[in-house]
Amino acid sequence: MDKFFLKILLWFVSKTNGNEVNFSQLRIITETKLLMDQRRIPVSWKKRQQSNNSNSMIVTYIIYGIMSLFVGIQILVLQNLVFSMIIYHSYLLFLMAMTLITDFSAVLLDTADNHILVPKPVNSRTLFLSRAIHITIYLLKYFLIISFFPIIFTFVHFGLLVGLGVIITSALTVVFAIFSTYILYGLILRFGDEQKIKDVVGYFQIFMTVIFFAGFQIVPRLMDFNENFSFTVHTYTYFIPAAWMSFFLEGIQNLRFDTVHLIMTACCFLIPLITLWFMMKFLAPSFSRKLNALGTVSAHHKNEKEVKTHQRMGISERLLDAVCRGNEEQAGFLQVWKITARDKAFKIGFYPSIAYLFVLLFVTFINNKTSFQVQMAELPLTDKYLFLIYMPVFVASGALTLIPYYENYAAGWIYQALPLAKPGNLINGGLKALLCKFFLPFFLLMFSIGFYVWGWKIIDDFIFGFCNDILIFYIMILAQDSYLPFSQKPAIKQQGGKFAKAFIQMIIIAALVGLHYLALKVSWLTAILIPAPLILVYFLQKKLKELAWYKIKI
Amino acid sequence: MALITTNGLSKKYEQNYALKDINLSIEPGQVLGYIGPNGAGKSTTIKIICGIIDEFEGEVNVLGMDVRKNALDIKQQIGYIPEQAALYDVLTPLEYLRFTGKLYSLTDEVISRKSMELLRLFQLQDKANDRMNSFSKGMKQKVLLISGLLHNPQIIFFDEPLSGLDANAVILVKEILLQLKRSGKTIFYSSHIMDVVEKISDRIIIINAGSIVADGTIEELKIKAQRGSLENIFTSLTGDDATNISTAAEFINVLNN
Repeated sequence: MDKFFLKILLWFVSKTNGNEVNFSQLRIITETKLLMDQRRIPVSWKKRQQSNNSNSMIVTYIIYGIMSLFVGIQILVLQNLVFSMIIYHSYLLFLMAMTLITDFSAVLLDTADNHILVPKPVNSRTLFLSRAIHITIYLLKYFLIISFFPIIFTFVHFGLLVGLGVIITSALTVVFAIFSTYILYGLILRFGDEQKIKDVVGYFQIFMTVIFFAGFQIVPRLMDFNENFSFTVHTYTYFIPAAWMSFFLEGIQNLRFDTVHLIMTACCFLIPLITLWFMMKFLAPSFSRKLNALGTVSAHHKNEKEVKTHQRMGISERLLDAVCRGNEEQAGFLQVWKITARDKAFKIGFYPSIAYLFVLLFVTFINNKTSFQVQMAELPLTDKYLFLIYMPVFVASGALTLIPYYENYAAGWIYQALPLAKPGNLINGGLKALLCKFFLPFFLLMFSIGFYVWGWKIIDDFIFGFCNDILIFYIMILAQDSYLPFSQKPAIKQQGGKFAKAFIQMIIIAALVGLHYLALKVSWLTAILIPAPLILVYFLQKKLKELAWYKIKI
Repeated sequence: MALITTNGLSKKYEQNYALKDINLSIEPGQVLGYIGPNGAGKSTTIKIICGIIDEFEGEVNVLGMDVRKNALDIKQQIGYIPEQAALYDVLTPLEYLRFTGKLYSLTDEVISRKSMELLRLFQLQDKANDRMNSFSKGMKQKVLLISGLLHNPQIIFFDEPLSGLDANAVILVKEILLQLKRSGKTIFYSSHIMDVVEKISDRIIIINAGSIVADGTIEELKIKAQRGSLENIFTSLTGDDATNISTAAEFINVLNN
């Protein structure tokens, strides 16, 4: 497919750009870039396992194709053209912008070109066109995959006129997606350096992951599928790109062009075309210039920040003496605390799960059967606070599974070079850092919510639950293979043959939660049970600290 | 006639001068050793002469052409080997060399023949079809070296070419540099490794904080600085022997206490 698009675009360029372009160079640059795209591991919605499989792009295309099918099906199922088209165009805008910002950022922001292509005898017009063709082919492929089923189903369901209309509105939506991307990158480039861009893109990936997950969980709960969809136009509707497209399509379907439809139609065409002109004229050249400057500025000539003469005592240092015993534990604690704050791969892998906590809260406590007010009024009569006690475990356990892995895993040689008698101490310190950083704050937040809704009667449950939670973490860490923090290659994260271990672990956790649930039936029982998990934690911690070197997987 | 000339070359990054009034004149077949501490402006000079950085003050001419107006023609006739092994490492060496070779307008036949031969000389023939993302820094540097020389340029700019190479490769590259010198190539060689600079350079320029602090043959510099080796001359011009000695002593002191 790449070759086909390339051929067409090169033909088009040859007809429109005369002597300024070196076609042999243009071809080899774009061919090479497309080849590299095929070998690139897509970031997509979350950081995937690294693999040498060159088919990873194909897997992404298949996933997008399946999503396209689902969005297409809603066009057949929903009877309202405006409603179904708003869903489709929002999906298209969101997915194209997301793909451009997250996946393609690796290509767009690759300053390797500054070192590789700029020193070669390639003129700026050829370079610009190679970049433009590369981006166009990339977008065309994704556009076809994302829009294939929705466009086909629109033709089938709404006829030829709307079908042709939706092709136009889809193209305009893509223009809008590119514009959003340029605006975002432009803003970042204005205020930050290359590292800042990468960081922001990382955070954006996290944000997008959450939006995606939250959207799937929350939106259906906010909709009432039993009623007929009728779309009321509010003032804010005029600011929604998907609404412009949808009202234009409705206009041509019913040949209705009242004030609302005329305004929407004007927005549908004029705004994307104006943004396209603005992009070509100002954003793209300025973006290119800024990007070219990134690689050429020497690190030595950047404004040097003042060196801090004294370090402010951070939370980690304050907690250190309170929660850790001995230097090895303290070292593990500080290492995990600091690296989890700085490692991009960890942040991308873990931060979404924090947001999932809130989505899960919403999903657990809100449904569409009764009104929100009724549900809130009935909440204190339920035992749902048990969810609040155990939900933070799911957040922090995600971090626990990520801790052994690190891009620069070779740095783990240091463990073997150090006079580290009991590596378990280091692991224990790391676990404590995770608990303080990623469990305790959320547990306290959940406790605040629980206390607000249920009052004093849940105090003993939260204390017992807290001890149980800690016990669960120790069970998890001891049940897993033992790794030192940040010492493993991310590629080996997938581990086969661990099913039995994970299953037993799940059963133990379920039993602990189940026990707590049963204890709720007798009002005084939870308070009596509090020492039990504490004693177990003491022994398990001892076992972890005594972990011998031969049990550690290097 | 000089192949490379710079006149009043200066470069400013924000408020700081990276280069200040650099005047150079390099004759055909000359090997210029360009040395200086980190951040002295070595790479910036090379990037400006190669047409990579186009915003600067002063005049720069290469092969009789103004670098501002004829950057493309100049790039076609020079080779540039940067310090960091910046290459598209998802490609194989053969794919990468085909890519760069074509950008220098070489034919497929020439690219393929030369690439295989040069990879063989660097003992990379078995890796010719492996993706470079699994290569060591030294292996990537070898591919980079080949890609910069494949089109047989008249002038070659080396920016720390020995960085990351293993001992055998260093010896081989040193020998290549000498052979290139003998074959009449003009070489602009920037490095920290003094013995290589001393061995191959006809002329040495020492740059510090963006300005040239010494210029001459190794013998001239020795006489001028009254020092025995290039390393000593370098230290006396860009640093301070006494400071180094006292810093080292203090370092040991801190360790002992």
